[in-house]
Amino acid sequence: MRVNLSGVELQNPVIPASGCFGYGYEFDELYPIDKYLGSISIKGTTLQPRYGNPLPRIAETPSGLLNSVGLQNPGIHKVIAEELPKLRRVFHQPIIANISGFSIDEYVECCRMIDKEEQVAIIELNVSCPNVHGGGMSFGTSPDSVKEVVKAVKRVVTKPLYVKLTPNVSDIVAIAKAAEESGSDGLVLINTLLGMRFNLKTGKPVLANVTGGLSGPAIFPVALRMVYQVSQACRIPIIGCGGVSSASDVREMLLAGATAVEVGSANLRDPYACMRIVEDLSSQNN
Amino acid sequence: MRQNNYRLIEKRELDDAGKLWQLQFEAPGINARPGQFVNILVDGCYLRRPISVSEYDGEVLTLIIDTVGEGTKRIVETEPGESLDMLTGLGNSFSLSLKEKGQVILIGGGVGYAPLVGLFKCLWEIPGLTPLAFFGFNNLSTMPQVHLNELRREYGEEIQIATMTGEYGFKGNALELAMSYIAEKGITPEFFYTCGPMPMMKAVCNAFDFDGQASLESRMGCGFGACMGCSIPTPSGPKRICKEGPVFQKSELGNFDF
Repeated sequence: MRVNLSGVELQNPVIPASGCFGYGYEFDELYPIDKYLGSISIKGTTLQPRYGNPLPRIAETPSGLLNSVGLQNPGIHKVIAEELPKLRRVFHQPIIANISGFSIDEYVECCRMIDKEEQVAIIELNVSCPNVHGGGMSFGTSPDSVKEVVKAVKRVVTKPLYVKLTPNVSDIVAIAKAAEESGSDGLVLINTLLGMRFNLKTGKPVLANVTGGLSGPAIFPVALRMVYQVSQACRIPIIGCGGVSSASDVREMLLAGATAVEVGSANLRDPYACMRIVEDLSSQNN
Repeated sequence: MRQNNYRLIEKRELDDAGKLWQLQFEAPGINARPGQFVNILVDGCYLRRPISVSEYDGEVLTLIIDTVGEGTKRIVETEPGESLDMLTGLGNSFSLSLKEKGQVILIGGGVGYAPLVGLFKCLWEIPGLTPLAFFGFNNLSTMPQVHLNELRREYGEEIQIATMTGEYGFKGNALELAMSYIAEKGITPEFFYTCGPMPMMKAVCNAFDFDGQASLESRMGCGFGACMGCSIPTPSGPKRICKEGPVFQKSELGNFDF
């Protein structure tokens, strides 16, 4: 089941997705993550600590959930000083560092710092954040801003750079090509779809932030379609992400053109989801 | 944390409105201290439903469920003999080792009384501690009469009841009842425990100059610390209700600005 992502070899294609697995080590109390997981995409990290959005941040949806956590994280310095060493004690596979930023400078600084961490094998650039210098538009919604951020980050990193794309665009292929042309080593498809829900008792949105990102099995067909379209148009490897909950979902993602797969919301419903998927995949392979 | 299927052995309706239910599961050897919670997988719902432990005796897990939505309705539709998939041993718990022994008070509003029942029984067993519980409900029809009568039979005046309508017991909320009772009897409590609606717990924390603990609730993504879906800002940094909580020291909650 070994897979290769831009020269980084993983023992299998199953990777818990950023934001649904904390910094990983908490899950080692449940099952030996070193034995089971191909890699871990750690919780999205920004330069400064962020509390994120007010509660409620979670809303149930048919076959999924909305979240408006808002990139809560302790900041890159604390992640490097405190979280990565804890993960290192229990996990010896290559890890993926998910980096967010609200300006090109922030992305560059964070990526430069995380690139020096030995256990980090791949940098995953979350371009779904709003660009505070670009009128609040998400970096990932325009080919030009994707090119700008990828080029700037590529200048300072030595590890493979994977851009995690937002699906909230009219032409995902154009964005993916922009990332590839500007030097991205791979792509992660897809981040959450923007949505909302109302509370009928109060007449107000369920999420304090009004809108949030939709994830879970509800978005799996959308993710699959985008992975398929992009894999037809680009040559760089793709990590498929979005609603993957079973070994058969993984196999569909691989058929659509993904090299590896990230599992997100399924971990929240079933903390053993990744372990079960890996077990099912290996029994199907035999 | 542990995941397993636990068999429902008994369930009963606690109020006239048919909203509050008590469910008992066969669950030997789990961690279920007062204040901790379980997270239940529900058919037809994506997210698990976090429910506080009401009582646990090492064998039988007692939950009290307020059917507020689709998920909780489906949980109480479970029939004895059927099993539910639960994550157990979640969250921290109420502190039972207090520096000062003496009078402690428990203030619960609505279904917030549920975890305080198990806590009361634990405190009752500790030499030197005298727990006194104040439970408040909106009205007679949403009050778990059967259960409260049992508690009153066992613990007498140490369980005090209020309804907002005055249909039963003291007229007012649980905090007003506690303040009035304390003043009337000249009691000087050393510590409080509270669970219930956020505005009530905030009022409780502000009402007393002595220390106490509040058990919070929130919509949760995972219930075990992975998603940051239930994180609150505190004077000592962000804390997850599901992991560092749900029980917080009064000083950690500041002015409840979350």
